[in-house]
Amino acid sequence: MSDAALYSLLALLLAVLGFAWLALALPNHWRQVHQGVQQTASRQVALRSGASLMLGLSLLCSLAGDSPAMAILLWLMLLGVATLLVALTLSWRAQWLALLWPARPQAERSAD
Amino acid sequence: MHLRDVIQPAATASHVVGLCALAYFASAQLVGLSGLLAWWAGMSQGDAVMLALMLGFIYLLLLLLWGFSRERRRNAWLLLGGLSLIAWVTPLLLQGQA
Amino acid sequence: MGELHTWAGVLLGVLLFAVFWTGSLSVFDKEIDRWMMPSTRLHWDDSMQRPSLDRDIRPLLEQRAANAPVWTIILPLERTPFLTLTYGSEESRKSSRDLFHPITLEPLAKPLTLGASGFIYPFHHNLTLRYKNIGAWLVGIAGMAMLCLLVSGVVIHRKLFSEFFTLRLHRAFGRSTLDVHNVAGVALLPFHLLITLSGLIVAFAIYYPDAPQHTYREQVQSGVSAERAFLGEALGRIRLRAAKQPGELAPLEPMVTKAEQYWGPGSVYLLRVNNPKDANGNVLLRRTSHSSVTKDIDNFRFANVSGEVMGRFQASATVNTWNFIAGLHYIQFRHDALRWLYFLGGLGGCVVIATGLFFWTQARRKKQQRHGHLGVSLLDALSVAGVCGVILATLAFLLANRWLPMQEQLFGLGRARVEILSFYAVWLVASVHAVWRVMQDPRLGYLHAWREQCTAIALLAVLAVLANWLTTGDHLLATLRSGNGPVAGTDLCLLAAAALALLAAHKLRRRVPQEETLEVAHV
Repeated sequence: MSDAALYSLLALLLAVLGFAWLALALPNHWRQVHQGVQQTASRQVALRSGASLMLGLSLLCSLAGDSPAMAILLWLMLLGVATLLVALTLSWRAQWLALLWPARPQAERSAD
Repeated sequence: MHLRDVIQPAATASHVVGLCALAYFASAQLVGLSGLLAWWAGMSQGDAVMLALMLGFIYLLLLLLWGFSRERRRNAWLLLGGLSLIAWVTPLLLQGQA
Repeated sequence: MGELHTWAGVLLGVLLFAVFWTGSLSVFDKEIDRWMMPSTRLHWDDSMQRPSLDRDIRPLLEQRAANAPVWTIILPLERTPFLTLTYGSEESRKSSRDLFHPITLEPLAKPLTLGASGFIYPFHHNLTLRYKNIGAWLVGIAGMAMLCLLVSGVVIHRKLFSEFFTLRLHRAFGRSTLDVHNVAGVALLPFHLLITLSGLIVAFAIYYPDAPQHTYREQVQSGVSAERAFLGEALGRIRLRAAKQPGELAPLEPMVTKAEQYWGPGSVYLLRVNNPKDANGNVLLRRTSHSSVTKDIDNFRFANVSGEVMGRFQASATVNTWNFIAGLHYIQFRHDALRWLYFLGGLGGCVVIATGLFFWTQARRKKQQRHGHLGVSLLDALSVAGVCGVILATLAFLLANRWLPMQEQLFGLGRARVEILSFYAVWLVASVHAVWRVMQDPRLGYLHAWREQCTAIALLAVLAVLANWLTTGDHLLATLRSGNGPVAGTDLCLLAAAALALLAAHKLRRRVPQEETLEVAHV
């Protein structure tokens, strides 16, 4: 595979990871993937920050493989593909996304 | 079936088609005016017209969205009509003076 | 806002679908051309030596079009692996075109077809209705409507971010159709905005013809057309008058060498010789722009007789902004990944439009159930005819291309014209079928129409692949093995289309009993 193709593939994978984390930051999708584990505000912040980082890295990967204009165009298209892939995964095999941000149910705290 | 049932959809259809046409006319006048202003601001004739042309479709989009989101239909017609008139007249006045 | 969305969607959904469908196909128009014109299934790459202009090409032109007012030479390129010579004649405005093998310069068998680049691409931007630009205006209106739909669709969709990834495919059909519409629409939003806006901006000359009037007032007052002056200054499009004196055309190779000193070796791909035998004739040279998004419109102009540079046009930064926007839309630059993504993005747009149309008719149907409105039924028929019909028409166009005998005239018409008639005839048949089904059963007829036309799509797509095999021998395994990308790609896409159509037909078959059960439950 050529360098440019490798960069594009990497950019796509980073975008998928980024969007998967953005999805997990949404309450209904977190519940879909991690039934029974409570979502916390700090985890949501972590997910969103991580997602931004991944999307930024994805753009840098595109820029590494192409001239700037084509790289940005490619990145926008890859974002679209990534969105669709994450949406489809949530629709069919939501549990797969658990691998991308594992979480165990915490022990019950007594109400103080 | 009441007369109302025929007139109301016909009125809505006329409003939609008419406002679209008016928005297009307004955008075309704005393109002409923009080109003239860009030229007077120092761009070459070709660049000025090209810039105005590229902006034209943005003008049209904004005018359409704005026109159809007015609370009262009458306001959309008055404002777009007024804008068209101003954009049409201004180049003629400016060039008459220059 | 909601009113705008519904109205624009209804009136223009069918038109938009046709524009997006033919637009998606146009991304690969040159590849589909290879499929439709078997004599052009050749290979060309940058490493090969292009034919000599003076030794090889000039004699061909002298032989065929010595007295033509214009000669156009298009040198072989990767996606068009043959030499093209075009020449007008003094009597008629129509120009004729001959294709030649890029190495041996043997004349290629006449394709006798317009192909994708000659029919599907023009249909995309002007519906092939050229009288007073009516077709282009309709496409333009559809384009503006698409922009409004995109913006108003986003504004309507109040839960845009919380439902960004929501695809409830196992729920009721109406809910899942809306989810597909929303997710696909949001995922492809940047692409659709860029494509739609750039498509409109490209065709400014049709939509804002009077734009140069005020700025070019001086030229208008001295008798020059504002439009001509603008096109000359901004785009380098100049028409020079013939001297009506004879003149000998100087050698062309030195002109190319001179231009390539500035542009880089191997960059010239087009030469247009205006008034070849005239003392005041000129030769225009254009260059490729494979590696930039910006469409390159720079040109060199050489005098016929002296062979000296008459002028060099270089587009300004502002005009190159327009060229960038145009290049964004035309995607003629080299980038396989982006080309495929554009193709899939365009098809995604088709899905967004079709699901939007389908959802709208479903929603309207529920409101008008009690009145048994004929209008709703006909609207369903329109949806089927607009979506399945145009796909069937395209497949018929491909099938006709393969099955019609290779004769110049068929049934008293040119062969290319008969192919186009097949396109429209099948579209008409599909429309009549849809109307018939809907009249036959006002409640569920539309489902039967969708299902039957999806099955027909699968059938025609497979027949097209078979037709290619039987008429050219280039079946899928052979083309995959020999690395013939365009033909293999077209066959593979046809098979994929057949599979998707069968899947759709299957899902619709299961839906009919569901609908009947719902009907019973309501009564």
